[in-house]
Amino acid sequence: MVVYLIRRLLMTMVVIILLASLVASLVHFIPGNPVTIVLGPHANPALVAQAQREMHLNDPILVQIYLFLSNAVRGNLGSDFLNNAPVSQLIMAALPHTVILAVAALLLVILVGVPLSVYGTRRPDSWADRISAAVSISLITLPPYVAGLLLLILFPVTLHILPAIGAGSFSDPVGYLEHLILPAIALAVGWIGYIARLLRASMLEVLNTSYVRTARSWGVKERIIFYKYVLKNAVIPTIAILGVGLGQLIGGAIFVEVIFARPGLGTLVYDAIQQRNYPVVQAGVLVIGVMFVFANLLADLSYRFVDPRVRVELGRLRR
Amino acid sequence: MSVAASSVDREAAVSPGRMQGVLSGLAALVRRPNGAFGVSVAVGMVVLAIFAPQIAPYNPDAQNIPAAFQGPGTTHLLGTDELGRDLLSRLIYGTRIELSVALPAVAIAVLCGLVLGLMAGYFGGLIDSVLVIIMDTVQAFPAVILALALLFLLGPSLGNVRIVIAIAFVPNYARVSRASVYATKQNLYIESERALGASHRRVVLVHLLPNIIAPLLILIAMDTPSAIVTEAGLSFLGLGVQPPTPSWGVLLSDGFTNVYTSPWEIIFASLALMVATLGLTMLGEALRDVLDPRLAGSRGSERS
Repeated sequence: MVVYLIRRLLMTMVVIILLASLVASLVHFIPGNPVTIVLGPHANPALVAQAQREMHLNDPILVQIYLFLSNAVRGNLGSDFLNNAPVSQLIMAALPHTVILAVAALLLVILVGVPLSVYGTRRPDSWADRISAAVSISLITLPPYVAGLLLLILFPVTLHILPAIGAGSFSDPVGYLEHLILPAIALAVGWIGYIARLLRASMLEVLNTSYVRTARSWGVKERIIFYKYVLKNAVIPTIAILGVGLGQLIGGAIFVEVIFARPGLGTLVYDAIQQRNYPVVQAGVLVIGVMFVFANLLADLSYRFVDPRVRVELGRLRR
Repeated sequence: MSVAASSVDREAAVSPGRMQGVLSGLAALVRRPNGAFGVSVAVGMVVLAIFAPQIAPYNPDAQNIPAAFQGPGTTHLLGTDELGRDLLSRLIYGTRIELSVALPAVAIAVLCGLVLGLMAGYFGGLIDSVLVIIMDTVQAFPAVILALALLFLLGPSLGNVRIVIAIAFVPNYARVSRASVYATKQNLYIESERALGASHRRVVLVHLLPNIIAPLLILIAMDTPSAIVTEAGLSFLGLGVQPPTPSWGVLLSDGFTNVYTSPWEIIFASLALMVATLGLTMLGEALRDVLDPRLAGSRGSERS
């Protein structure tokens, strides 16, 4: 386990460094000179040369990657020359909105997905089971942007309830929550179906084990068998997937943020792409990628820790 | 033992040239309700795509400004968009765009992933380690963000969307073929084949490849709908297929601009997308149940 932990952490480092290098070298492959994008095609050549020096565009690519990496580690993500502000400031302003959205969606996934699948699986082959299975698969195949657009049409446009645009402000928590409801649902629906199905499959698997059969033959109450033995064991693979889910939710957030004009990371990257504002694109992609990698790491570790068999092994090692 | 036995079964079920096996497999597929639904959606999409000019009532690009923003009606069955173009015709031609992006993208991913995975699994060692790290890095991005960054580089166009989706999907195929080769390689008959003087090429093509076909087919069926969803999403953001080409994502984007005037474009494009992805996903699941019964419902058992 310790060896695994070290290997996993090393692997994460390698992936992040590769990611950052990839992002840093993005500039080199963009069609057109990034400087002329900012200064316009008829800029003073001396000014262009100066800007190129300031942005280290004339240095070898490895030097650029090194500079980008060492600056990024210190929290300096370059400066956005369209708005003349440090990129890290833009990122920090947008990040909370995206994280709140992803966490809210994750909570929804757990709060709706788990009961949906438990309700169906406790009543095997009933209508409840079939309906919950059918609902799950239909939700899985619903992309977040379709869910978002349909919710937009249904609530703000047709029924005139719930806000359609923006994220509200933190000084008005109720308003902020109102702005959060539709985006969070849109982002969550696909994963609700996915988690419900996954949990159902692993519950069915545990229901078939010999220890459940033994517990039944001992006359243990079905309720206790279900919640104490089956659900507890079945939840382990689901936890692993939830971490991956958090990363995917952050990725999917871009659609939902664009649809509901939420000023999060996704919107930031989207707008920057439209304006070919590459420092912001670089930083945004890097931050989203790093969050994704860490969510995966966290999931991997937590799921190993939740599994008592692994915990026992760890305890033995410590002694 | 059981692995060897079941791989023989699988080979019998899908081995090329055995029409009988393919036909009986197809029959087993259609007998399942999800398989029947999936097959009909897939066949329906292919027919719509091929015969779009014969089926579509109007030219999908023909503008008729006075007739803009109509709801569903008798002249325009599903209504019209902001330029008075017939929505039904645009959706039908859209099927063509969706398939012409998704199928080549998946095909490129299969080809590249297969070659990389076979090499990594068969030769192992350094090639294997390097490949695993690269694949991990590619998968360290959410597919959407990876596609966005790449499209930022390449510029938005239909051809680039294909490439970008293919790149995002390559690791899936590299992984599956690598794992499968890795497992099969341990068998004694591979060793004896090598001892008899068979070339690496023969071992890979004759003995290893057939074992990968079943999991590969399942993955292809699962990835095709997600390729469609990815394409539509990128086009919705304006980074994929460009208007006026009637991709379903472009329709969603057009509808979004006019969401307060007329919701119909979004509603029908969403519906098309939902039916297509649901149908193709069900086809994938039915295919998995038929080809590899051990995998049925075992998504939750990925514990190792």
